[in-house]
Amino acid sequence: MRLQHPIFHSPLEAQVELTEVETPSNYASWPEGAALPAKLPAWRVQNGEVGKEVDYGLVSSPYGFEDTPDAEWISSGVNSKGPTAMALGRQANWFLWGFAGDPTQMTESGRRVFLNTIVYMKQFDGQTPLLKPEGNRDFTIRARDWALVYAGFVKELGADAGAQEFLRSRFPAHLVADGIDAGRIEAYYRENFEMLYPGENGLLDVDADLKALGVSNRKPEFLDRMAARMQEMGASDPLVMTLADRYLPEEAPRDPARFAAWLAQNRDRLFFSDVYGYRWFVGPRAAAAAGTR
Amino acid sequence: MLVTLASTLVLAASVQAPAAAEGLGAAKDFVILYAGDPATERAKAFTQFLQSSFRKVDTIELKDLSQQSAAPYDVVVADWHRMYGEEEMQIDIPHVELDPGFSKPIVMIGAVGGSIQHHTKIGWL
Repeated sequence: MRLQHPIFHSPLEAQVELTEVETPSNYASWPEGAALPAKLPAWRVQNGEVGKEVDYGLVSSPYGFEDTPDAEWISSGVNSKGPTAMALGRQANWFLWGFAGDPTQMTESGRRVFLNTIVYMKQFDGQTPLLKPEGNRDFTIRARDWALVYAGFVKELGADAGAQEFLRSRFPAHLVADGIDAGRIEAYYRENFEMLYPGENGLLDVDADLKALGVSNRKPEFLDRMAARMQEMGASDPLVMTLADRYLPEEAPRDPARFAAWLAQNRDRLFFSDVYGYRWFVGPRAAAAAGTR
Repeated sequence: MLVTLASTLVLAASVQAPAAAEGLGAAKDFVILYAGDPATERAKAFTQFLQSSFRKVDTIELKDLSQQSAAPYDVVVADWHRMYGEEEMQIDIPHVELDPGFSKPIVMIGAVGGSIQHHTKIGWL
């Protein structure tokens, strides 16, 4: 929970008070859940028994949510998914208030934060998300963190005979050829986390070409390493061509000198998004990005 | 750190704005569009609350929400009636598909966030 966020302080000081709640048992199998203590500090947003007096709310995937500069994760909430599942967050002009209680059910601080949220959102009038998902429908590409979530599913469901087919379908064939071993799968993904890419059938696996380059696909070092390799091997180098097509924006020049100049000119605007296709994109100029986090 | 989607305490009775709502400053002049199910007590609670905080609040059916209907407003609040009854859950949010060109600031309450648009990273987990 990002208590420093403006929605907790401006224009109304929300005076959020924290109490402790039992850590939901379902959190344990999620990547961030293993090390959680028995109790967690929490802010009461609303009153009433959920499911009877108050509807269940909505949480969104936290993984990759902030991999575009127009999005900000603000808070999770007690939920049936994982400990970082997003209950409060924004992408461009869209804000999720995941709590279903009406104002009569909100706490005083909940009402203040709700009003602050409305005020906060006004600055995003006229904006739209920077990118659109392929096909303009629900996202089918998932951030690399899901590899660890699926490994957690194996820990939770691995002994269930009826779940074997589902679990097997989550991983590349070579990872489950000798059985579905949660420890081996998790170790593989953690060791290669920065090299992951959705391969055959969208299943997350190591990008062997990227591994040959020896650098994460999503860190700025990738861009520098590509520039150096272009300079050393030329634009026709098969590895350069493959990785440029896979990861670089279409407008990025493939000529070494022009790429270096383009990189220098755009470095501060470049971002990598798992969710939008495991690619680098050119973000808006600073003035156009005003109001984003 | 967590916030509570679930709780077990009492229902509050007031729908009044926070005592400090005067502190909204220039934002008190906002014009708000509440898009939901206007006939319900829930919609009345939201509009009464918003009216006590902002200059003007208009209400429309959620199904009528669009770039055009939202255009005159500062911020939109998108909501729907309760869907989890004593007996069973019934998700009956009307089909509204706000497209990527929708550019008004919008606060989506609960399940509505995963129903009225499918082009942002906000959706059902």
